[in-house]
Amino acid sequence: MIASIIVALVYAFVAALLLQGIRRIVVAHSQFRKGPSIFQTFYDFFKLMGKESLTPNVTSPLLFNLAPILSVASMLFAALVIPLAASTSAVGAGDLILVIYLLAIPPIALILGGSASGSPYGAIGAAREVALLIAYETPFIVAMVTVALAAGSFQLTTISATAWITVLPLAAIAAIWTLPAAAAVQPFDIAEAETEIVSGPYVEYSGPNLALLQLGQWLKTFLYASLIATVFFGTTIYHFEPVINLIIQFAIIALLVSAFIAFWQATTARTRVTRVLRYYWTIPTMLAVADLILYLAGVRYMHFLFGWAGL
Amino acid sequence: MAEVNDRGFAKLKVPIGPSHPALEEPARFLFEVEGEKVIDVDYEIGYNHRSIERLCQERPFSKIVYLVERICGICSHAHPLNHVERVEDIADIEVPERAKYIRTIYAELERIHSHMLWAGIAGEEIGYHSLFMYTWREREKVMDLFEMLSGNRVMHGCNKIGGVKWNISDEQARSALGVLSYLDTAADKITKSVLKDSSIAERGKGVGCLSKEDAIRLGAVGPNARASGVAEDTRVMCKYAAYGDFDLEPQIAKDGDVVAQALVRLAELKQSIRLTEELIANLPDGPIQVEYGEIPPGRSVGRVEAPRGELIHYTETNGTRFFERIKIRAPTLANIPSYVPKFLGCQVADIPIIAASIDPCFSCSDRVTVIKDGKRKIVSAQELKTGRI
Amino acid sequence: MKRSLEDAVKVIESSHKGLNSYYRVALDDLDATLAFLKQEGARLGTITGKDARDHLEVLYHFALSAELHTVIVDLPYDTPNVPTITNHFVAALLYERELIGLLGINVIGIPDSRPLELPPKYSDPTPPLRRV
Repeated sequence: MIASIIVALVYAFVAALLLQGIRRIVVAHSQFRKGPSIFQTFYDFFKLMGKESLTPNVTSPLLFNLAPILSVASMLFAALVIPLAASTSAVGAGDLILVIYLLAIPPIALILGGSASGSPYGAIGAAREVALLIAYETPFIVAMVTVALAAGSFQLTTISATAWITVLPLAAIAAIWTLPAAAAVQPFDIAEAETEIVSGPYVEYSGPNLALLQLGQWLKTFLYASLIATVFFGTTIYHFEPVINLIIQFAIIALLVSAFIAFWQATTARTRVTRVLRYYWTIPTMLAVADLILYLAGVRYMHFLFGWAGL
Repeated sequence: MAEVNDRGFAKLKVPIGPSHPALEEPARFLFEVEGEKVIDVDYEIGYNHRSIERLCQERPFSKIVYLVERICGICSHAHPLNHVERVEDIADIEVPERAKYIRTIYAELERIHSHMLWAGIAGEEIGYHSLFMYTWREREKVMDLFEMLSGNRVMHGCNKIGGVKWNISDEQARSALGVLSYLDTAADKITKSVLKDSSIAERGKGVGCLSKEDAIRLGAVGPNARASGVAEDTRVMCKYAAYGDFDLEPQIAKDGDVVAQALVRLAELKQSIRLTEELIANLPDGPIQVEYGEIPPGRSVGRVEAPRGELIHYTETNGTRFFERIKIRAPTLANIPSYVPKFLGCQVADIPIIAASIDPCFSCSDRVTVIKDGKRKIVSAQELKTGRI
Repeated sequence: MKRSLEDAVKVIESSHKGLNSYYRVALDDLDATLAFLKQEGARLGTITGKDARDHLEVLYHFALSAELHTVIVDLPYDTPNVPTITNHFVAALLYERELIGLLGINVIGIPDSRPLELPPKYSDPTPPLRRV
């Protein structure tokens, strides 16, 4: 068990940073640039870890310094709970509700850190992060609850035995739609928005604190995508060796990130905070709710396609 | 830090600058915001003050062309062009036709690269990095063209009193035409993306509006005024250099918002490309400079349409080898008052794009500006109308 | 201009060259001159301050389509006072504050009298553009 915990943590760390490298390269290529090395995020992370961490003369130094640790700790815990390309998670069980809660902690840490930093940019960034969190969590949670209802369980190990995109495609679309907002890149990088509020909550952070806060965000992007991959694409349905399963799942995650985060990032301008709620509470929420109602009403509209598979 | 007002909104003072990612040059804005809404604006500009006007009085004649060329890295042709035209006006120097055409070609190329630079920066300000990357990649072609024509990308050193320094050979003219036709397609692509892209429309429509009345009253110039419907273009009115030989229409838009600004500049971009092609095709033969004698005492004031708007130079000579007075009014200084109606009531997210919308060049204006006194809280529309900013 | 400035106010000295016209008027006639120009639809280009060695000069440049009309007023060294023209032309505010900072001219009645170019803590008593 200790071994599987260590494997899961190391895999989550490496995959999260690698994913950022992939995203940056995809964005660079769609902007006619060469882009950084795929390992650039690793270099940045270890460089920042070796630097001095400054605590500004802030309203709450404890909260300010606690936020990055909170962010990373919650994400490492989530990495143990989500079944990463295996029939079971590193700690043996995983609860969907718990994971959804854990995934909300890095934004909350950003909000805490931003408000505690005493900078007006941090305060505005924190306010924007709140709006963003409320906006994209709504369709995401509805989609996830629909899946849990359909599976008859909140246990991720049970849920991940089926590729739910074949049963609840509308919920899957809604959940995938929230990816760019969860990753906080354009058009949803409103909380950072460097030309407007100079990176918002990050502005007063430096050194290891900054590295951890960013690591929390990167881990969250990866785990959010892997939760979607686990729930909607299944983990144990391929029946391969665990290593092959892992590679297939990482490929799915990388594809999701390239297609829905990087491509979106390269082709849009930053949106405004007032638009985010309207944006996520209309079509994505409607899709998720529609699937929920259809499922509860007993309509299995995907049955004619995948009925042969016994779904 | 945050004080809460009676409506339950936290009031924050948000400083932007002197050093800030949204600003290419140092300037300082102090916004008072309520939630996301700007209710007060205060700004200082002058971190680039280099005492150029004083230096112009203390350097001998021959060095001033170089000095004014270095006022601004973007308008590095408009300033010396206006300067030499003023001196030629005082001394009644007749500039050869070919020199006038070459000056105009440089001025138009400068407008092309400046407007492309603006389009890229505007994209960057609204978080549209791909637009920035694309326009700046195409802009490099203009810079390369400058390097081919004058040997320099930024400081062309083209103007001299009595003509120009660099001639344009037939071979150069041919390859310039090739570059221009390439730029024409690029300009079409940029215009199409600005018109069609919904995320640009979302960030630009109705943002930073300047009414025609305000534009006239506050003395706005250049594309900033034309976007509000003021059909004034110094090239069309004054017909300096070779502009008298060509038919030009001032490009105007009605709304005065960011999209209108973009459309005016992109229309001018297309217009400049066409005009440059005509200029190169009709380049007259002949000398490119004339000898001139003593500069008599005299004064001249004149205007040139820099990419950012009307640029005024007042030049006075006194018969010695020093200038009596050179006064430079950069277009940005005239456009700064129009910030006030644009900023008030806007959202924090719109601050960068509004700041960029007038295409500010604080190096050019190199002034300190504080629009309103610190005591007054809000500049009301009434106060704006009565003219007390 | 449709009407001549000479008919409206007493012009001490005037000259014309090309698109440029210069009118020297007495300080007391400045207000009437500006009112006249405003009526003609002139737009303020800029204001130039100049140290003419024995007195100060303020030049108001007005654009009227292609023409540029310059109104010149002379100020004595010991009382460099000029009334504000922001009541006629709002855009003059910045240029007048430039006069305050760079030439030490007192602009009477200006809404905001802080010097324009100079830093707040500029301590040299001699304004930068004075020839002393």
